[in-house]
Amino acid sequence: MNDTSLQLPAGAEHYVLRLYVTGSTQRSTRAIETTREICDAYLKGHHDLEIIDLYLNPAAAALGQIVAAPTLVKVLPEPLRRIIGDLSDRPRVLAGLGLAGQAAATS
Amino acid sequence: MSNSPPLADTPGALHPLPGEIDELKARLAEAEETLHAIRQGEVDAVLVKGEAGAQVYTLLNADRPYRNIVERMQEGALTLTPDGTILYANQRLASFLGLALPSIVGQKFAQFVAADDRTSLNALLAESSETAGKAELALCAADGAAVPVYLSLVDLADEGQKIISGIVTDLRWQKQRLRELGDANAKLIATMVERDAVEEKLRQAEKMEAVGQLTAGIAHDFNNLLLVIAGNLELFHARTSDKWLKRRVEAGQRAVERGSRLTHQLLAFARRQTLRPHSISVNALLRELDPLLHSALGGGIRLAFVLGEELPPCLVDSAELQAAILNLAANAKDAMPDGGSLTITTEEVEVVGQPESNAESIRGGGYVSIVVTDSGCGMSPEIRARACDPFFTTKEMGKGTGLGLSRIYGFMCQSGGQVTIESGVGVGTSVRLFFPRLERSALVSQPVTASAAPRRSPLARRVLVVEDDPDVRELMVELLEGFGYDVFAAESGPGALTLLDGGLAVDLVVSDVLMPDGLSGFQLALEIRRRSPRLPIVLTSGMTDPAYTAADAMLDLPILRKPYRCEALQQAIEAALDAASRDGSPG
Repeated sequence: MNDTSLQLPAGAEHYVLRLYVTGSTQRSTRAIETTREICDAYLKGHHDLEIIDLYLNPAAAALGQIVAAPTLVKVLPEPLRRIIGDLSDRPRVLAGLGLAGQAAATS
Repeated sequence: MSNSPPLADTPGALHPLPGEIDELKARLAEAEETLHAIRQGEVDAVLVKGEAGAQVYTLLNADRPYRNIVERMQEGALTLTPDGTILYANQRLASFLGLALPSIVGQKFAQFVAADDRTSLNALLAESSETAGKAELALCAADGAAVPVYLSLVDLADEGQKIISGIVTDLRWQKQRLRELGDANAKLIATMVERDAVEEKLRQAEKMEAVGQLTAGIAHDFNNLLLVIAGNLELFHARTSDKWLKRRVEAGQRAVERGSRLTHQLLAFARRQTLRPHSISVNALLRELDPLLHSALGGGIRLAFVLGEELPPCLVDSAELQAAILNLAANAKDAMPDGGSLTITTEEVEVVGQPESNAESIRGGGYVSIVVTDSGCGMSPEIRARACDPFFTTKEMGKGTGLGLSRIYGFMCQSGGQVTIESGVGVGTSVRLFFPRLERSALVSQPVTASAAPRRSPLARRVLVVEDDPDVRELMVELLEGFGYDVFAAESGPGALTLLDGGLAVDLVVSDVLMPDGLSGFQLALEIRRRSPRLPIVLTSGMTDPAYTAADAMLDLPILRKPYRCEALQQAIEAALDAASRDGSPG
């Protein structure tokens, strides 16, 4: 595990995120919105965000070891993290992505 | 998570490293979070690994947005059993049918489809179990109206029960647009056809006009040439007593006669002949022609007249009309070598037409029409289209000049009327002549027959000849001097006026009509009338000046058609002198 990654400024690291949703439910919509906002605010220019609809592509759930939707997976930087359920809870999402310190610094 | 290595409980891993402990803590937190989220109902769906791979289990109302889409979309939606029973229908479909949803669900879809289209619905149902199928159908709305729709069916292929889903698209608007487009297209095509027809008519009119101008020019020049030849032959004839020479001269004179008839026909086609229209009864003229027509047609052809009653009179040159009818009869005879019938019909017609007439279309108004119909071989459209072209003939070489219908065409145009030809191969030909009608009160005048002027001694009358063509002028001087007149000559209108203004006293002026130098014969006559109202004037003409107007006609001057015989010139001069002396004498 690369422990130093957490200490580096967020701008230096490349984030790969996958958001698993099921269609266009309210929760899915909120999850997409929150994730986009966070990406725009903290990870601008150094992230890849993939949004996967499990209705259209159920096989992706097995590959990503997803048990419920919506789930946001931080693939990179390691360690891999999954944030499940209500993604409109911004502090929780930021913490899961390891961006809690950044949020405090910018706000 | 399920694939994560089990928590370290093997004997070799009793003392995890600090990094591993952090990782394990994080994974535990994640697992707890997941459980928490599921317990709290914060997820829409859970993923379960089944035999066929991952399966999405949707939780409470998670599919509501889809339902909303289907319920509210502007297309009709339904699900059917394979035998066509409606399991579900959306509100939009109900509105197409003008029914409430409860009276639709559970019914056979076929009962809402127009009877004619049920077969294709059944075919579609059978087909949709294999592939998606589409068809245009008509639905029967509750009010009886047919609603055109586009139906697409697809097998939902859900496990267990077989369900077919369908989308119904309303085509009323499209159909309406299509109809409008079709109408617009039809209008466009009609306009194009009409334009083509008008263009064709215009081309034809322009061709006739061009040919007419050319013809008129040639005929005019030939008339002058013929006049010089005829005059000199006549002088020669008078001076010789040699019988052989006289015969040769007479042969030449006959050729001049034929040439003269030809140029006359050409001028008639070119609408430049000098017409003498007067108010006539068409029926009376035809009755007079009856014996002549009978002998022209011969035995094998039945002649019938169907004459309209109480026709209004027309302003027509009767001699030319007679010639036209005889010509049509001759054509009809040629078209009926084995006999047949010729019917001449007259009637009064109202033409709803263009406000302006041209060579090809007739002005709206009242007409008297004469229809000459034969039961002959008829003409193909190609021949019919060229029938009025000068020198166009289907007769054998030497049998026809190809000028008959051309002459009639020019005559009708010049008379303010029109000629139309209807014909088809094997069905005969109808030629219809339209003459503008006059008020019924207009007097029908008797055709003026030229009566020979009384011969009398000229007693040295003084005559002024105005003629631009030097050969013609010389001939006229010679002829008139031969008749005993004192002859003076001028080569133009202004020249003649100069002589008269200079004190030349004459008893009569003979002038050409068409002269290049400023004044036409009519204008010269007007000038002379202003100076000496009683001075008689005789005009000679190779053709009618295109600028010939009603005002010119008002002058009511005698016009001698070129080429004329010497005798005719003398008669015209004597008649004019007589008339002048009658008018001049009291009482």
